[in-house]
Amino acid sequence: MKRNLIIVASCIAGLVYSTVGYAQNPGLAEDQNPRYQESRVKYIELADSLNRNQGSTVQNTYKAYDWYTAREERRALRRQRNYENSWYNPYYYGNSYYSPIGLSLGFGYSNYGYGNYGYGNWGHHGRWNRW
Amino acid sequence: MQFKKIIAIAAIAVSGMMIISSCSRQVTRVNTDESIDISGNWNNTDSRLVAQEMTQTILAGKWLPNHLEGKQGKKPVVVVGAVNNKSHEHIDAETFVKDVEQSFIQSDRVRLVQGGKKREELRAEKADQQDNSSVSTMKKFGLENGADYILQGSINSIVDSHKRKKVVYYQVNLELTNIQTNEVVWIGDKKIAKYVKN
Repeated sequence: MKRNLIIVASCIAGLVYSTVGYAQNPGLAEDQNPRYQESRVKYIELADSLNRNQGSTVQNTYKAYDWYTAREERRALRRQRNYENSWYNPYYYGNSYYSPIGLSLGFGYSNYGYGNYGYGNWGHHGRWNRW
Repeated sequence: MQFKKIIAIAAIAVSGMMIISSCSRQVTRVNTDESIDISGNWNNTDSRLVAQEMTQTILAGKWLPNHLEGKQGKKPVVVVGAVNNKSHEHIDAETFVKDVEQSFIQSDRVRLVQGGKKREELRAEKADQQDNSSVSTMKKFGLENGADYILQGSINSIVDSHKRKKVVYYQVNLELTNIQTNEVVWIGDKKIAKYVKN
C-alpha cells in the first residue's frame, strides 16, 4: 500500500515538473537555434533604444565641397574678419581707447573713460576718436 | 511756395517708394506637381519622383504574391523603420515614405503597423487606459499585430563641383526585409542627377 502511494506521488510530481518545465521553456521550432533565448534576452533590453528611430529620418549628413559656396563662405569670413579688425570695431586689438583689458593711452583709464562721453564724442565709433 | 512744392514732391516720392517696397514680395500658389527648381537643392519635385517610383514598384514587386502564396492569402504586415540620410543635405524622408504607406493602405493588399515614437505613444495611451478607462473599453497589452516585414531606407549623394558648375547625384533606396528570416525581399531605388550652374 505504502509502495503504491510512493509510486503514485512520484508520478504526479513528475507530471507537474514536466508540465511546468514545458510552460517555462517551450519546445524549439523546427530548425530553431537552441540558444535563441540568449539573443532574445539581449534584444528585449535593447529594444526601446534600437526602435526609437523607426519611422523617422536619421540625419547623418556631410558637407559637400562646392567651389562656389566655398568661395562665398571665404568671402563672408574675410568680411567678418575685416570688420572685427577694423577701426569700426570698438574692441579692435589695436584700439587702446576701447581696450578690453583696460589699457588706455587716452584721457580715461577704462573703457568708459570720459573721452567717451566728453568732448570729441561725436562719431565715437569713428577713427577720429581713436588713439 | 517753392519750398512747399518740394515738400509735396518729397512726400509723394517717399510714399511711392513705401508702396513699391511693400509690394515687392509676390506669392503665387502653384500646383504641387509642377517642377520649380530654384537653388538646385533637394526639393518637392525630387520627393515626388521618389514617391512615384517607390509606390509603383513596391506594390508590383514579386514579394507580395510570394507572401500571399506562402501564407495562404494572409496579407503581409509591414512596419516602417528608419531612413538614414547620408547625403550632403537635410532631407526628410517622411515626405515620400508617407506616400508609400498611403499606397499600402489604399491598395488594401498590405497591412501597416505603427513603429517608433508613434508606437510608444500608443503603448503609453494603453497604459493610461489600464488606470483610467472603464474595464469594457480598456485595451489590452499583448494583442498588437506583429510585423512580417520592415521597410528601411537610405539616401546617399555625390557632389562634383568646379567653379560655378556642379553635378549633384542622389540615390534613394528603400528595402523591405522579412523580419523572421532577415531576407531582403524587395529593394527600390530612385536615382536623380542635377546639373547646376551658378
